[in-house]
Amino acid sequence: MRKSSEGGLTVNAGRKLQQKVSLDPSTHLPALTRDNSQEIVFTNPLAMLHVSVNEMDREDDTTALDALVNKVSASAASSLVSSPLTPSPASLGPIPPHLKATGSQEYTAAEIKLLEKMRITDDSDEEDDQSHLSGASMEAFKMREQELALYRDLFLQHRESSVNELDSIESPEPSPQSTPSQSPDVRRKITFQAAARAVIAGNRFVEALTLDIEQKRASSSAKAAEAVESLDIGSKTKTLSKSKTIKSKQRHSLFGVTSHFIAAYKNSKASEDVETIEESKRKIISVGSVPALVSALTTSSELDMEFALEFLATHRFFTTSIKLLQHFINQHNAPVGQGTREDNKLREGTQVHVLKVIRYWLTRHPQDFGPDSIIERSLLSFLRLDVPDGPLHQAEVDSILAIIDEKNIQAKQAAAAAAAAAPLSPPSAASTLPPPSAATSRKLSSKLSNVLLSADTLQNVDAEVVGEQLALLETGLFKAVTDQELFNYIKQNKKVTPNLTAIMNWSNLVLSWIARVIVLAEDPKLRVETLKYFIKVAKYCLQIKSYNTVFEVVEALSLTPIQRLTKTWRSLPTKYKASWLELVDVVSPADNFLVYRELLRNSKGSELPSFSIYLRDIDSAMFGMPTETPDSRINFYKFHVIGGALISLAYAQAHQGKFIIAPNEDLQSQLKNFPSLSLTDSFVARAREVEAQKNGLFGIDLTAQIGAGGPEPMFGIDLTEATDKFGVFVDTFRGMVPIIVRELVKCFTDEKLSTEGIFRRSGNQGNMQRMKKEIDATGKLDCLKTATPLDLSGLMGHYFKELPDPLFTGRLYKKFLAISSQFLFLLLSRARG
Amino acid sequence: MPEADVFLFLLFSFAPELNTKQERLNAARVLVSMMPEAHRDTAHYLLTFLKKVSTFSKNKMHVKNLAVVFAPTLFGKS
Repeated sequence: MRKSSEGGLTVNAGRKLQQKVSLDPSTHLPALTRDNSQEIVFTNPLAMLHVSVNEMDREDDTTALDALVNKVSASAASSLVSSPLTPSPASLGPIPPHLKATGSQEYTAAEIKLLEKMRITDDSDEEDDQSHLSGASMEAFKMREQELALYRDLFLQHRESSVNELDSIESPEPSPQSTPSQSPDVRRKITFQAAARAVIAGNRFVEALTLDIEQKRASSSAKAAEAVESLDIGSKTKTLSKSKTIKSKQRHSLFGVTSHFIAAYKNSKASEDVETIEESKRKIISVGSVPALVSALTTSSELDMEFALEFLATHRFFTTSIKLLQHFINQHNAPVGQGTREDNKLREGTQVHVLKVIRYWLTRHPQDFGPDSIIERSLLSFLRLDVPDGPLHQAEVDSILAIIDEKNIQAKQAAAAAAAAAPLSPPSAASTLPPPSAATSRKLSSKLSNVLLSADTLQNVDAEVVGEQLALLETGLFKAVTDQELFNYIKQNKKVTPNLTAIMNWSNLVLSWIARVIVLAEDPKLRVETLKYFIKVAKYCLQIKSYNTVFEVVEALSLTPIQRLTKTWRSLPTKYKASWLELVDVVSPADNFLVYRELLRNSKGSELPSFSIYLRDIDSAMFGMPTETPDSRINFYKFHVIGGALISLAYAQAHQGKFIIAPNEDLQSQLKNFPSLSLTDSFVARAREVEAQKNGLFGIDLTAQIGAGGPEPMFGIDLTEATDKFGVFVDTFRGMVPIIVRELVKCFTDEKLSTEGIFRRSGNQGNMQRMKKEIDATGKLDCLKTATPLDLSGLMGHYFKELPDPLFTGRLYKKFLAISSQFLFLLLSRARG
Repeated sequence: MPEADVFLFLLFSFAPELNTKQERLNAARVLVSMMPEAHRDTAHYLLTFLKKVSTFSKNKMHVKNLAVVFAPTLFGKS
């Protein structure tokens, strides 16, 4: 060691490096060979580190570092001027362990500032995902990245210096309060000892960081990943001086080392398998940890495209993109078997699969890879350093790089376009959206009531035209919903964002519009005509395959106020009745919308799928299934369902709903400007007055008409059968319940519910038996209206008691018990956190 | 799910070994996810109604009482 002329330090490092390699042979360390010409110059403890290694040139990352270098030199210069060696205050806060261990003397005022700033940004940056970062926080994020780069340089410095002091690893840890009176050599030595430990613990440290990624919140894991990556870049030994060139021999990054290590660690930890289930003759991976899922994905002989796409589409719900990339890299770098020829072939196949999946990932979800983000840089360094030279590999690598380039060019263009448009947008927005004056909106609504809002004027417009325009409008709404909105909807517990709200509100609007028009038609004949009209609309929409509209219209016509218009329904011509039954069949929820799903599957082309069904699928998987199994593995079946819905939704948005319909501006604006009608109680009351009659309940009459065998018993039949036969639609939650249940519930007026001990006390058994017989024999529920509260509550109890399959689970109940005894407890106790 | 409390109490009467609210909530999730459509909708409807029943203080049937009455009916014999 000798002091350099600028007060820095030049170190000859080669010999010790060799030593380091020999220290940790178990972790597949690539040869970290350096020759003796390596020379390290310290001019300032911060980062003025000149490294000249007479090896291959690495210029690729210099530009990225230029800004950093400027900053470093600037701050270093300033720190030299003000106070070159200030002891760090004890209250510095959470400094990474290896930095702490180096002793406080190493920190200059500038560093302290930086570290403090780093700490602040760390705390304030609570964002889950980089892609969520908007404007200001993006700035903060970039700032932090720069600071982390500094932090990385610090680490690099310690790592390099430690090389000289490997012999003293065993010496005790120096007190951070070491007095400044110590000679520079002693201080340096203490520093080196600590830093050497940090490097020897190198892999452990990185492992800890990586394991951190597994556990900590996304924000902190991003930091840890950055740190991991910092080692990567650091190990490439870049110069931090503008004057000298960066040269390095290290072909293998430390990142690669780490991945080897982690892969080995993971393999030794547990040979985790995935569980599969069969569904419609397809093997579906149902349970597995993330590494196991990755392994199942890439080690199969044929790449399971569906699984891959579902996995990529949903990975952010159970892990983060950076973690996933890490798993892919681990998978890629993991050794296979004993290294025989066949093993190598297998390994090659896996590696190509990994690259392929990453390519799909980039193509399908480019938003996961922001330009110059941590993940993109990790990916680039992986491609550059870890992927072997085989032709198959390189072809994939080339296409991945091409995709990244294209993506970044597009992003730049978009940014440029946005920047160019930015100054223009405020006036243009103002000019395109003049505030609608009260007069024009009133005019519209009055025009509306003339044409679409009233039953008699509605007849002036063709049902086909209305259907077409509805389909067209809904296609627009359907396509407006973005991936990100759906992601937030799932991730943030049904959070609705503008486009989602728009499509949800729209169907309610149409619902209330249709119900109103029909109910408010005074003339019975006109009512029948209007009903016919809407059946025509739905029928036409079914023809043009605008299923979203079909669902809406049929749902509207299934609303209770419409369904109870028995006379109207009865006067419907047979042709329309048949159409109606066909429509009901299409939207039937039986077997999880089997009919509809079959239709959708078989009609390739210009159809508009029902958005609500997608949401329904997502909802049921999201809230009905646990994310993790008792042993903390991922319940991938859940994400198979969600992923399937998301993918087909995205496909539909991209390729379907291409109706060749000329927009009818007038009609569209009328449709768009429906006054928001809600089905208020007064409206329902009004609806009751129309065709006021007792027992006008559609389900019964229809069943009586179709089922030639007369009324069927209601008690004691299977609930699914009951809802099919006697089901009524409940609009509050849009589900079907057996009519008797609803009628029973309806009979409980507030007064009756105030009876003391209702449901607990039993009613008159004789009365109840009589009512049951009457209902089963006639199918009429009139007797309920006169029954006493206790008889009603008793009858309700009877109904549920007599179900062949109890309400909660029945045959599933046994399964439930079995589960509960076997692992439900585990599940529950694990899932508590 | 506004009727969640009723459901939780039902589960409580049915499976008293599920101690914490969270445990019951998880069991409820599992249960609901396994139910057929008709059962799920009807359960939803019924539980909403029972929740309403429990709000009438005059009848002295608060959630827990209702759960005790309905658990055997709704879960079959237990």
